[in-house]
Amino acid sequence: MLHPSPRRAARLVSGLAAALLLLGACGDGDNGGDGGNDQPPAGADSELAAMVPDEFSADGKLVVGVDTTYPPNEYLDTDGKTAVGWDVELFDAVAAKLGLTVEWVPAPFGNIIPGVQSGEYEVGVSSFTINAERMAEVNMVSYFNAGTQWAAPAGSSVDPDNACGLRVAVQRDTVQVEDITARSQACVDAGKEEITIQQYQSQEQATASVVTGQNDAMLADSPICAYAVQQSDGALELVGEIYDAAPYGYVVAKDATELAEALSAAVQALIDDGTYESILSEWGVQGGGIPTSAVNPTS
Amino acid sequence: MSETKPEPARPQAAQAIEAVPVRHPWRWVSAAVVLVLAAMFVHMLVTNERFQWSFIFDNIFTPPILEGVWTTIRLTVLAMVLGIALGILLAVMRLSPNPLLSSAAWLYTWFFRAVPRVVLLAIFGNLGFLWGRLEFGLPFDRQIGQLFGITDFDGRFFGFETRDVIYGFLAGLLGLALSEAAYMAEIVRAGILSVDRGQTEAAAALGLTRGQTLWRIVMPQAMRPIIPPTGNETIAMLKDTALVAYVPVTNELWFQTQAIGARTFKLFPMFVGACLWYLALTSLLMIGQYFIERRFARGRDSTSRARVRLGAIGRGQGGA
Repeated sequence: MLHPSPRRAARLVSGLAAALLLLGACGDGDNGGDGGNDQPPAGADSELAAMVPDEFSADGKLVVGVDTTYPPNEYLDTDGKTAVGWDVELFDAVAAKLGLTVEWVPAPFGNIIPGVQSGEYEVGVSSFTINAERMAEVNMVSYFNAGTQWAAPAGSSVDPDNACGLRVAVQRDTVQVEDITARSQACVDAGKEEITIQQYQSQEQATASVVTGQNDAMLADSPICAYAVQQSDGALELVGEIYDAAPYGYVVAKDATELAEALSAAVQALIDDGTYESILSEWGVQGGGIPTSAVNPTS
Repeated sequence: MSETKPEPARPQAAQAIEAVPVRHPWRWVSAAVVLVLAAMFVHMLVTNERFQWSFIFDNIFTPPILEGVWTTIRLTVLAMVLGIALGILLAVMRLSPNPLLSSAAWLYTWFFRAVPRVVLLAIFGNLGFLWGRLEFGLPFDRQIGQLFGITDFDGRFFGFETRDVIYGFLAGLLGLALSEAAYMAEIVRAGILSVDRGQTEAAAALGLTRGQTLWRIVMPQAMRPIIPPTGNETIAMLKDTALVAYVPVTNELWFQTQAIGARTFKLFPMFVGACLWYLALTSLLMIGQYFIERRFARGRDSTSRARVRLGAIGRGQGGA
């Protein structure tokens, strides 16, 4: 290999080029989501589209990191590769307003914000609850309101406010991990048995572990618990009220404030023209709808 | 460097031979290339600010990480001890003249080598789904009772709720140990088969039983080929403990480094931190392997002992 003949080198180069072309072709075909069409989607608002900085709009698409284990917000369709869910549908509409398509890239939840910071993803869309820790690292654009709720096997007597000694499932790196850790600490401080916290790699694994009886209860965002209960065929039920209501936010890098402003304006346009309401209603989560979108909301 | 050989002196050596050492220009070039690449790599480590070395060293010695290291060590040691013990049993069963024992061992090895560890671990994390309670006692007690017309015959003397015992650490340990036993069984079997058949025959001629032959004659000689791959397996096991996050076991090194990375949004530095810990632990294991190999090479001639070097450990199969 130190002295390749000219012919071999030529073959090598052409082979590499062919491989690159193939890769390129895969990338194009793999746009995911609904569509994958190269035309600027219908309903684009040229004024809003102009707000998007060139570095994001040049290729006509936004590369979005998403953890597809969170039905009904974002999950994989039956083909095992297309991201679906209301969060996905809504952001497709947001991007369409800006004249862009979306390339959905599935990723572990905890990797998405660092991925946005490193430039691997242009936006993170994965039911991120807006909180101070996250806003210190990235820009967040509010678009929904959700709280935390618990679910447990039907007929069990789980009380979220008195969960000491129970085994509770939760998805790792979510805001609910802090929530349940604090509850467990409160149990210990009160001289009661601690909560056994089982942190799963995905929300679906956490839900499954409650259905199989491996754990006594789980806690997650309110739409997720509602959907899990609905899908579990009576195996699970909601327990307790929704609490800690907080907005979801799209994640954009700290230095991409203009993109954040554009996304926020696009969400607002969808709220104003009724598309927002119709998408949420279609998925039965209109209860979490918000009247105005903001970048880095403080309350 | 010099490869000139002394020529036998000739009587009429008119001119002295102009001996020129063989030149090795490519040796120098390749050494230079390696040195430059190494320098570039070190320079990158030092100058690329994205590593955030101070952040790494501030965080990889925090209590959750140290607890994770301890869990990883415990898992590695216990899984290997259980795996080796069960593996020896399986290897002996496999070589047994009893076809039932031998095929049972084959079936075990087949299953546990075929299923990926991460899949096994996810299954062991949810065993409670299959059996709400695990009970030990007389097999088929209910059926036997019914045979004699007793409907509530209970031959079980010990039991527990599956999910209260087999979860977290123990579920992870079981998954890793049972899987390891399948690999160790093959390694031990190969070791036993490598001992010359004449040894067994000689032992039989001396009147030793099968058990005595195995433990006194065959196994001590089989240890030499068994040790290096076992060291390899131990290192592989140390790394595979990272998979127990799928059980889930959360007080483990990889889970905890990732958790800090996700919480502080500095994933990559914590990935590097995890690498550093695994490198350190693996290096310790390699030193241990060196001494164990040296011990079991006793009584071999000096050349074969000299070949058992620290460097050979890296190749895993070396040392013999």
